[in-house]
Amino acid sequence: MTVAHTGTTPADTIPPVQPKAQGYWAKAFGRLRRNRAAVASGVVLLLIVVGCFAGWPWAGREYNRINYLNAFAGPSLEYPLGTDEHGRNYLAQIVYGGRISLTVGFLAASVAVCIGTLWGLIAGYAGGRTDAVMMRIVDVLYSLPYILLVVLLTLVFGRDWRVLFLAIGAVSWLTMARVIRGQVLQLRAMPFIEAARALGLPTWRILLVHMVPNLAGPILVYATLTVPQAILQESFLSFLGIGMPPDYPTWGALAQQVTQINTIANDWHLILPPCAALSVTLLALNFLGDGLRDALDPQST
Amino acid sequence: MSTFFLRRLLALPAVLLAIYTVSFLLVEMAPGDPVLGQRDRTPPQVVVDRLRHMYNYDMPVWERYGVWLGQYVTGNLGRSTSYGNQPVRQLVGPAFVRSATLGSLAMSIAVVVGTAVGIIAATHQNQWIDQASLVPVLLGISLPSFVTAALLQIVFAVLLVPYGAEGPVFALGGWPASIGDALRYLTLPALALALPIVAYISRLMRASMIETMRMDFVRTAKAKGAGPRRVVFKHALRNAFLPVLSFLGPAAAAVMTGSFVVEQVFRLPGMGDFFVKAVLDRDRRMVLSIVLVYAALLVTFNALTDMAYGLVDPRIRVHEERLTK
Repeated sequence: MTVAHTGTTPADTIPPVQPKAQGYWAKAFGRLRRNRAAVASGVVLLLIVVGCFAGWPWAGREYNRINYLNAFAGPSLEYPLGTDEHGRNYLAQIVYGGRISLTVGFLAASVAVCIGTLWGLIAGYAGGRTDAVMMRIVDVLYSLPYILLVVLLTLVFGRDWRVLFLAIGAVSWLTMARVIRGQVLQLRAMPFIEAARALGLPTWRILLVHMVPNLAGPILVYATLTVPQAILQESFLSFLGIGMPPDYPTWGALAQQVTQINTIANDWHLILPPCAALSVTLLALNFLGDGLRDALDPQST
Repeated sequence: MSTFFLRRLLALPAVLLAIYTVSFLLVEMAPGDPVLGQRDRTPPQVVVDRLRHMYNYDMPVWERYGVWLGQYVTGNLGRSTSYGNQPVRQLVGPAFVRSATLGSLAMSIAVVVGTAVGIIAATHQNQWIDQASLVPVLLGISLPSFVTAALLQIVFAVLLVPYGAEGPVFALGGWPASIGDALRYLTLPALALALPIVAYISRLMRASMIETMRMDFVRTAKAKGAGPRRVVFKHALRNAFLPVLSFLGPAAAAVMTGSFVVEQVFRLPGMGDFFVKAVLDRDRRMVLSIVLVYAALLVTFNALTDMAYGLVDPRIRVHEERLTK
């Protein structure tokens, strides 16, 4: 958490009378802490991330060791979630798959945040015709099914996890660009930006040093809300068989077993864990994002 | 006023041309040989030359770009390389009609149910019914549609079978032979497809309705003695619906993506199959044609919702006309 930025809200331009003035971030954190759903989501997310990346000792590292003598085993002490059709340790697969799903989600969201912020900054700050053209492009892309573009990109560059998160990121930046542009339009009219311009600062400096810190709130909010979208998109692609390469057990790929009739009839222990992991993560990210929005941007609610 | 609508219409071909150019370039960049890709053995050179000629691969890229563009303008979608030289249009035509039927059904469900849930939640703010409206929302945002689709199947095909759910009421796969059958075959997939959009629209509608109900003109209507029903439907709804209207374009795109997935789960012979298979077979012309058909459809739909927006809210078009002058 950094120091307060003056000029974020009109109220902040006049210093409050209390002896210890709370900054923007401190106030926002206070508001977030009172939101029980958001706090619970944050804790759950932390547990999931730590669990997936630290790896439980009892999850076992060998998610891909095949043992046909022990296929479709139910939960046991050795394999807490049982084994899959190749006798592989299912818990280890869930943990390892979560690592991939979360990584793809976070990386795709970062790509989206970078493109969206830059696009919104430039459009909002330039204004006029540039703004009109750039935002029309966003409007048009908004109505195109991202999946076609992602599929075309994976067709060109091959099935690789780096291609996947770049492609998902490259189609998820639109909301970000709209929100940032709206904020920039407001900031542009503020006296401190006018002062920066009057000082003769170069445009890039005004944008990066004076605008971006004031945009940190909405950037954080929409980054949080983009991650679940990216995870969902990855699961769609995995389901269609054009996502990650087949040997990566992402949550989407594991949850896809829910559509196989034999698995439904006989092996519920293979269906519930990935579906639960996926939906708990998506819900937690959405709640946390909503909570952050309420906390950082009181006027939007 | 007419310039607003004219502008939207004139932008259509330009947008489509841009989409065609980008997807053409991407498809051209795809690795693998366009006509030999799926063959185990290389045929004699004569055959190869003939194949290249048949699919326009004997000409330079820019010429192919022009020839195909000309074909698309006249509605010719070209021929598929993976389905033995059949015209793409004949191949995907029936599948397209099916996907479009399913998609429009899902869209209608999403808009009607989403709007209704949103209005009810907004008019009963913080009561139990408002809390209950969160259930579809949570399901919609937390489960990928293939999981919802499969869960619907499990409920209606496994758990409720003893009560006569399967067969007479809901079918699990295939395509209806008659209009009467359509309800049986399409209800479950359309529900699975609509759920995430119901979630989004109902939240949007709820927020927008609550905001509108606080506005002065609503208070005026109430002060003049209009009943609660009349205030909501006659005065507030038209204004509160605007955010939903502007979400319809993205919603249509989401339905399309979802239909690829849901069709697979319910084994509906729709576009999803063709597209995925064309991608895996590296059937470039088919991929390109399917992308363009969808793009044309969605861009047109979006222009229509845009115009409807301008019609409902005159401020939009006035603002835009002032901006571009």
